[in-house]
Amino acid sequence: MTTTVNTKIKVSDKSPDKKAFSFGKLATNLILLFIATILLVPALWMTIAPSKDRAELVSLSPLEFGSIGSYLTRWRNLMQYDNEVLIRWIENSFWYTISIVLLSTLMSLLGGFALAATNIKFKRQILMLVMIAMIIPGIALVMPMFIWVNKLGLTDTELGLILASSFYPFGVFLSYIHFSTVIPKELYEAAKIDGCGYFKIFRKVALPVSKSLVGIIAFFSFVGAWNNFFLPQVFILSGEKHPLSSGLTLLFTNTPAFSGNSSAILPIERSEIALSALVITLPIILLFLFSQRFLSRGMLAGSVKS
Amino acid sequence: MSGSATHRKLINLGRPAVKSKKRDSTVAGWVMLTPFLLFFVMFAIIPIILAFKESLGPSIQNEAGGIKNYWNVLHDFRFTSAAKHTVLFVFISAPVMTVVVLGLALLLDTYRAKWHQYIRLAYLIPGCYVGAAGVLVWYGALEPIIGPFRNVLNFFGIESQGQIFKPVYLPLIFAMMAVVSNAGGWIVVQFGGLQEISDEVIEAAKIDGCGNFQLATKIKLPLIKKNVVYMVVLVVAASVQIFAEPFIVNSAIFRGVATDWSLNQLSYSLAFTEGDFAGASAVSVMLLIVCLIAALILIFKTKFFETGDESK
Repeated sequence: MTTTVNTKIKVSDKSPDKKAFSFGKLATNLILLFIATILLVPALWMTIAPSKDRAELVSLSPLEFGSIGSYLTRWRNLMQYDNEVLIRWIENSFWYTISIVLLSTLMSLLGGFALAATNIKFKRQILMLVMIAMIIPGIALVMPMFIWVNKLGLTDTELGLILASSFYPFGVFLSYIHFSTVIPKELYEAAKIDGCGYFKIFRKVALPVSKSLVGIIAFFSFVGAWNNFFLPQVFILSGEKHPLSSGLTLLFTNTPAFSGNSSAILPIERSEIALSALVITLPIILLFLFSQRFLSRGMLAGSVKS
Repeated sequence: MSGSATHRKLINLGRPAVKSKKRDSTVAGWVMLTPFLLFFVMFAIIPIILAFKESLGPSIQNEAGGIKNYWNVLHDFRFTSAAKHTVLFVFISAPVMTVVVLGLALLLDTYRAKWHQYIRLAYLIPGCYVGAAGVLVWYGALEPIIGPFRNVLNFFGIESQGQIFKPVYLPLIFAMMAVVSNAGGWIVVQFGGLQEISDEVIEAAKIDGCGNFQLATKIKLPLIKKNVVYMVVLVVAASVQIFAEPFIVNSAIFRGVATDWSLNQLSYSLAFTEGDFAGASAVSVMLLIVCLIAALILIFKTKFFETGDESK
């Protein structure tokens, strides 16, 4: 025990930043903490809001907890909206997102590997197109996509939504950077000399050492697909086919929560709405918490060449 | 280029049958790339061409079609205000985002501590609340009766949300929403860039008498310039497309407060309430061109994406 403590003290002695108390350091940390608190409070409020009913929202202080049972009541009230359609939206969100993640991740891995490891022509030109597509925000393509998907007769279909959402140039770029920088060329060469075809190299050599890349692409693809709002808002017309992102907007619009019309039949008010918002954010927050390790590396790979 | 030359040389060394091997590689390469290229054509190239064609085609409002569609849209009574809002939003959110992100990234970098990873995580949390959930969080934050900041709001004399969600404040509110939800991700990116600066450079500057502030502005910022440009271009390109926040606030929370507020909302209204797909496409094409220009500037002017392999 003593030795550990001693080493710790020694290490901290060496670091010039930690040598002595510094006003700058204290001020910096206070600012960083203050901003973090400000950012977390509204999220906390939204998490606590469903624990209170209409009257308690006003009578209790904003961050005071109501009761656990209240969450259940809010949930039952939410279920009264459009024959429990919320359950359908949750299911939709999951299966749309999982399909999109699988499709876009597979395409990204294969495409990035082809650009990095094989000798195809027009490589540079294709990469240029990938980069242009990556910078143009997805929203910019929604209306043009809608016109095309409409011509194909795929509007208001799950297939149209999933396919259109799976176009993911950022993933190809990430995987290109990874396969061309992280994996040494010699590894490909060695595999080739051993008589490995490219598909085999991809499966047996490149993929096994690229678990973090797969994680990063899948992570970003998941967050993008789960949160995408404009695309389903435009593509989906029938209520029960919506994912949560666009479905919740319907819920907000069609219930008395914000119109202040308390005489309406549905018991859906601000506490219920807060619970519905919790339902859509929870998977993303859990994902963030569990994949923190991947995160910084992945975001970096997209912006800085390694 | 030299990369692929070495590549070729190595293949030469390894095998005499270069040509057939190369062909194998080409065939395999194209097969692997095909799914992505197919999606690229289906969900980028064709839609863009089609939108362009549609924007010049006949519509209910203009049966002759042609460039007049653009003229009509530009002279639509809603266009000027939507364009004004969009530009205002970009002009507020892009600089604020840049200052906030760089400021916090530099602060995080000045005194590094292990527990700062939780701070970075906290900054990422608002990014989890987007769309309807994001709007709701802001509704709560700006709610003077039941919201968590009600005391602060009341202190400034705000007793009802009508005092906040006013047309004049909307660009500011939407800009705040955008900055708060996206800053966390960019802080991680810029902080990562700062960590790549070698310790020797920092030590040398410190020995030369550089204070923390000078270190940040004179040494660190110039060294991460490329990342900063990358961020600014991407933020501008994304901001031009603003849709979700004004759309949700307008349709779900305060009805009518932000009707056709942004250019993308106008495009949406033209298409889905008026059936004017030509006009909607014209707006989309114009927005797309802005983003395309941003992309080309980033790629060709800043050479951001030159990787060692390509530039040689």
